[in-house]
Amino acid sequence: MRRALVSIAVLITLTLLLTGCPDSGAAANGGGNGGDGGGTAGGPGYLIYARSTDATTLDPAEVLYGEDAKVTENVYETLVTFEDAGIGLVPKLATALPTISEDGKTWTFTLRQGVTFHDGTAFDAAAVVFSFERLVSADHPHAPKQRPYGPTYGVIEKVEATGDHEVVFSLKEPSAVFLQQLAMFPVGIVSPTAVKERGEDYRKSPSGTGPYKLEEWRHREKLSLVRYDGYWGEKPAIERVIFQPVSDSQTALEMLKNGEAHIVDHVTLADIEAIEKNENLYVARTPSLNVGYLAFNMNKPPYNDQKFRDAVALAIDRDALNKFVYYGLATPSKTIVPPVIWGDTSELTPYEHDLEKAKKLITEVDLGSEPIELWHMTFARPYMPEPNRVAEFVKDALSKIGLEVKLQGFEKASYTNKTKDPDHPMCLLGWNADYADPDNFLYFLLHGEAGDDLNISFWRNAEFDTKVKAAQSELDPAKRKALYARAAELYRAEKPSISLVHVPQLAAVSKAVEYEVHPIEYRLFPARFKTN
Amino acid sequence: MDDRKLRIFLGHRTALAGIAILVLITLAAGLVGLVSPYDSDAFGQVEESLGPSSEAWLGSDVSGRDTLTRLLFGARLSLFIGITAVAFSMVIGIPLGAIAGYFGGWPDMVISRLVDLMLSFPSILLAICIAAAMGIGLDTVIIAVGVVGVPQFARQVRASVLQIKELEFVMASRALGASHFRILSREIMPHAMGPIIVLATLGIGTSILTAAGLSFLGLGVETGTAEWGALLKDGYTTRSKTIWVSVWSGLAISVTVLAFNLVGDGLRDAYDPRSRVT
Repeated sequence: MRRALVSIAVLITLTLLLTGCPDSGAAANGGGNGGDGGGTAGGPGYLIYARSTDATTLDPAEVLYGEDAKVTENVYETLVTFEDAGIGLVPKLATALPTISEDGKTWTFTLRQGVTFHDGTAFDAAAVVFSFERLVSADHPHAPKQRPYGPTYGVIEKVEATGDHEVVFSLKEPSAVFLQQLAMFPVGIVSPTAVKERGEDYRKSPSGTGPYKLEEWRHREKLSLVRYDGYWGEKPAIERVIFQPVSDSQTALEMLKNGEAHIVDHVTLADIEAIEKNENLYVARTPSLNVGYLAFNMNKPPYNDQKFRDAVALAIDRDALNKFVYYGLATPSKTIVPPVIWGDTSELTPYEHDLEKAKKLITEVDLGSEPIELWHMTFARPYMPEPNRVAEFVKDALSKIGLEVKLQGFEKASYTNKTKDPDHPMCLLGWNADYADPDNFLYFLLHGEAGDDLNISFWRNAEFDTKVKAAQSELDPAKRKALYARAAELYRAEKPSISLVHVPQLAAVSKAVEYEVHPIEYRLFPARFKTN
Repeated sequence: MDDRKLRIFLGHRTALAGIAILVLITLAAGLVGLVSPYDSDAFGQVEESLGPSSEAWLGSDVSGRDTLTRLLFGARLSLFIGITAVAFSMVIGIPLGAIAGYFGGWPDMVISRLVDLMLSFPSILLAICIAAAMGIGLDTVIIAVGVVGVPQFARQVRASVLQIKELEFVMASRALGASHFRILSREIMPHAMGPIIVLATLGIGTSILTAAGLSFLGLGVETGTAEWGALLKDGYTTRSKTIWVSVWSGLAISVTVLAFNLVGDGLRDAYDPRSRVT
């Protein structure tokens, strides 16, 4: 009997601990961050940014994932950048937008003077040339081990310093997207001295020209940036930014409520309502520039069977997905390019949802003897804040057409390798825009040249490739639009992947902090504590 | 179980309460498929109403699945895991313990050290290691939880066999030239069953708890399966909206484990009145 009483007590305690009391933190949190003390006026002097996982590299040329870019975009700067709250382009390390030759192939930039890197090296044309060369050519003596975005800049013929502060890019062909690409994180300008001195350690001890520099990085624990006093522009109001990996978003939210974090960037959509009701918190948001999609392996049966993919597409009801997985906050997708970037999507018909048709199609497919599998991530991404639930939804949808699906979830460390595994079945993945152009989706995720890291369907379609490639050098907007319209049509017909939803970027923020989510970049330097 | 033991057991009110709870849960879990208007896994069956209502007595989750239905399908799975995991532990643990106790010497040395080694790991950690190595799935959970239970059975059986093998009837059997196998299976083991039954009953409760722990950590059954630990986790991730999913599944785990413990205590009292705690 005593044993029974002890076990009941333990179980009840555990249950209470695990379930927690959802709003207990709110009442005790009247003062926001008042308890931290000892900082600069109007705040504690540091901002804690809670996110799902740690960064993996801080060498911009190596960066592929958002969690890395969140740091590098505050440490490095590019020649041009996105507007403060938009997707237009403005100069940054250049003094003005480039002068472009008549034939569109020669781009000349004048560089800003008086800029220094965090290691004291002066910023000049040589640094720009060095940064681009090590990204573009694999045999550069200081090229990083991986250059996921290297091929993106394949249009560059050569980069030359024509003066201490003048750089000329010669392109192989005119490019409609090159200026956008120059604003992306992979071409953050690095200090040549630091790269040469630090060698393989450079990825852990970066040196850029940005408003923040790396202070300390304890892997999987915290990464702190400190204000760079030699910064050429307006210095950040907050002295330190601490990136803290907190894999469970609920825990992160509790930290936010208790004043132990100021921004949580991986809130589950389920919590938005509660966050908005909490008097100490607000939701910062920006329209969706991402896509969540389901990719098929175009080399593996039965996934490479057009009828199989058509049936899967017909089985999925995006409105239900939005309602039961995304709490109605997402936009059901019509094509892989988000509507904000695509422009007017009214000409695109929504994906069809027809269970009867799907049932009939699936009977015509040779499903083979192996179980049908769907691989998914188990960690939150902006386009899939609850990836498990998305997987469950797809499984349920496919069970309605008689397709039994086995789900396999993977952690971050293994999932990136799993999706490029030539033997994967179908996977859930997504993409956040690096720049606001259809090219960033169609070329990056689907073009034959894109590389199997990103083209995880391993799709090769000659007409699609030609159209998308032609659009890159087409400077007439109307003609570009027509090319993309045809490319989108091919994508929707052949379905190497099917796009599911576009999800707004959301972050839960303490009311003690002024912070806006930038549509494309992760900018923490404009954040400030409120003075009251 | 002879008459005297049965009498003690039936006089044990809390044990009977445990039996009643288990019968109730088993019946409900068995009949849910016939009675519930809902499917356990399909999205969007319960519209809008998240909280408890006449449509969904215990509320629904954010995906529009009825909590009560999922809870009862979860009962099936949890009971199944508990029972099969214990069976697994017994199949491996009992022979090991019997060999160690009966033969002594180096087999005892090897088996006992192995058992000590396994007992020195916290059981949930050991289960996590096994589950992480094997990948998710129902079979993984059963094996992981089953392996964790092996040393308990081995140790208990070894102790019983050590005691029983010195008794006169065993010596008599040996003097008559019976084989080791016959002595173990026909003479010793029948007299060692009492503690094993008690341990197995208590073990089912512990196994259900460990299995739920694994699923809660995402190392158990496939995501979305109606299993108590998975439901606890599901309610937890969306707790600002559907806290009750966690409360009900937590309660279900507690009550079931309690019931097994009550029955186990009753059985222990019946088999070994001296150990009775009053």
